[in-house]
Amino acid sequence: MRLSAGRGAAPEVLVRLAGFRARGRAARRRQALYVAYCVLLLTAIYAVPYLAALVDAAAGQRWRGPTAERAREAAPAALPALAALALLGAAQLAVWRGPVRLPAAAVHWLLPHPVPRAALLLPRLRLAWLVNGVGGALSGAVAALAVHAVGGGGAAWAATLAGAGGGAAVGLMGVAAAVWTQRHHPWFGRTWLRPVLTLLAVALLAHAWSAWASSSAGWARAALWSGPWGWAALPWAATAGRVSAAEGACGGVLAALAVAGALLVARRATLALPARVLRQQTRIAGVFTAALYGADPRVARAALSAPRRTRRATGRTVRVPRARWLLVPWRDLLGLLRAPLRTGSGVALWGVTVALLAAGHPAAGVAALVTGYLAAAQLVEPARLESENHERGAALPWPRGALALRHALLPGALLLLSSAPLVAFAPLAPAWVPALLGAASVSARRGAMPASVLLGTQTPLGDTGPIQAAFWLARAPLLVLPALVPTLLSGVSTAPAVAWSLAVGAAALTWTRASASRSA
Amino acid sequence: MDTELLRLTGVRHGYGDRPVLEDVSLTLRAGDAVAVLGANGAGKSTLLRIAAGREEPDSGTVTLRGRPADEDDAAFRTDVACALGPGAHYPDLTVREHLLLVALAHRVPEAETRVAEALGEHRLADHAEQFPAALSAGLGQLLSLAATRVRPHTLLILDEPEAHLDAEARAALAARLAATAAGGGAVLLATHDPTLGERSGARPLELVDGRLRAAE
Repeated sequence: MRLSAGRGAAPEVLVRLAGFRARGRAARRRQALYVAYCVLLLTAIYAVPYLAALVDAAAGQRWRGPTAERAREAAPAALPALAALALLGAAQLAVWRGPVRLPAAAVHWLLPHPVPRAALLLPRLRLAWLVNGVGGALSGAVAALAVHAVGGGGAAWAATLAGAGGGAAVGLMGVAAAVWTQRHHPWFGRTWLRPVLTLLAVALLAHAWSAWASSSAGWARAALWSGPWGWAALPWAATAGRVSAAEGACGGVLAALAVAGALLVARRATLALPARVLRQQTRIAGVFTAALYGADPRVARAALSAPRRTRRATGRTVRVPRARWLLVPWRDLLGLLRAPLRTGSGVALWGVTVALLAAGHPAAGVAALVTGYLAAAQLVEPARLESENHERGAALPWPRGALALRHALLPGALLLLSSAPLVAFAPLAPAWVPALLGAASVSARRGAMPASVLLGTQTPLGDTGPIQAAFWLARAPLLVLPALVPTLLSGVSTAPAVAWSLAVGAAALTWTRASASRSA
Repeated sequence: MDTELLRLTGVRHGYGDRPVLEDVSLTLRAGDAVAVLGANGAGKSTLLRIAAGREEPDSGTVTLRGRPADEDDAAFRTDVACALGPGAHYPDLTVREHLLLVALAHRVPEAETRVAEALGEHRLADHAEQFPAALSAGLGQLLSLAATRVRPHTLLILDEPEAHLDAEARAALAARLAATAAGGGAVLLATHDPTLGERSGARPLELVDGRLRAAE
């Protein structure tokens, strides 16, 4: 079918789209106002008292002491380092979530058509400039106030103004770094910006750390003049008397030029953003947001994994066992072999656990409980994968409770075998294995947090919702690990400690079976 | 009708160490229709995404009217209409408004009339004022196909357009594809339904082991 049409579409289509969506505009506006109200309210409740204290302290430069003195001396070196870190953070975040993004519907219904990209994308860029500029200005003002409070020198209002200006400059430069990363995306080719920013941030942070450690300015002047990340801090340094007024003015001019260049770079990069990057980032943003609302950090983390080309299992395979009871351990072994980093970290954590237990100190023993749990949590990953979607194990002949216990066989064998050589020095290590595995298995099967957990009760100390959520997420280790603490008491001999550990382990594994059987 | 539209030359592409397309060459001229058949995982969708400029092949060239196939090129987007799978919708726009959006984006004259025709052709007239979330999978597929009908194109790329469609809808689809080719456009589709390709007059090709060959 051939229809006549002009090449390229006027933004009239966007005007018409706004018209189509007008009936929902009032509702969307109300929603946005409500969100803004909540943010302002939370800011007023939690941030204003601290800000007021900061302003009060800054007015009288009341924060004194050795730490304050270090901070004051190291500030000229620290601020460029923080600015470089902010630029690196912006570029890194842009790998998954750049500042210029489109809603999913626009990606599907507008992007494939000759709608001018400028009309689609530049409004998003301008919004990013506004948000990052204002956010940077606020952050810079707070940082300047904090330095002034520790005796940074100069007038408080001048330092705050200079800090706000520097912060806004860094915010706008960060947008440019982020959009550049979207434009030259690392998933589709080699890029140089993030490696360079990483080296820069590491070097400046190392310098700032040495300035802090030595309570001196170090090579602060060099850091301040080293690039746009430092030029933005020169006006503040001038107000604080750390550099001359002329240097401060010169730095301000250079920073303004850098910002102008950054705005230009950001605009050009925006107009050239590849559609596939926009599509991928919209998809990731949708999955990530849904996972955050569901308080499911695993799904959120998985959403951020690069949409690399699908890998093929290479090399690592193990012959299928003949014995039926070995099938689940065989499946778990394949999973662990194909995730060597995770498996290696689990084994390393267990090594640390055994070493801490062998040290014999009660504090080391408590630390061993934590590292032991973390080691077990790494090794029960195959069980976690199965619990995320019960269809995965539906074809197997075992009920969910029994399957959960079978998933503990391989990790248990691994932990027992690796602790065997040191059993004479750390006899509790093998005895703890069932309890640690039980706690890790229950955690692996907790699934997505129910929304009702977040609904707390108002108390004089605040809402209990966040505490309930934290407890729900960590309920297994919070209940099982303290039960093992009596085994660390100095008056307890080995045999009763081992017996108690095994009893706790039996209870934990029973809990594992019960929770797996109940899971929907 | 001899105008060359799409040309793939020596296209190779893979994911990781798994090759999907091996030395694929294909030329579509005005009036051509090609139906790509193949088993699941044969690489049909990959081939279509490369032809639609949405993915760059590891090697080889893809051109439309002699220019590199690039979805970021406005002229390419004007020429090529794709239905490569389900996508997101505006939750507050009706079916009609979605189609109007596409027609307006291409400056189609008398867009409302054109949209009304497409709604009728795709059995969506009774659902025109519904929101896409309320549509069944089949109606959603018809909406995607209708979106390719309300706009101009010289090349139409469809990935399994028969999915979720009943027999009558498939027959209508085949007739529309045949009309597209007869009208001077070109059609490239991937399908599991050989009869769809036959009825639309498409030349059947098969992807086997990453290579394109005439279907048996």
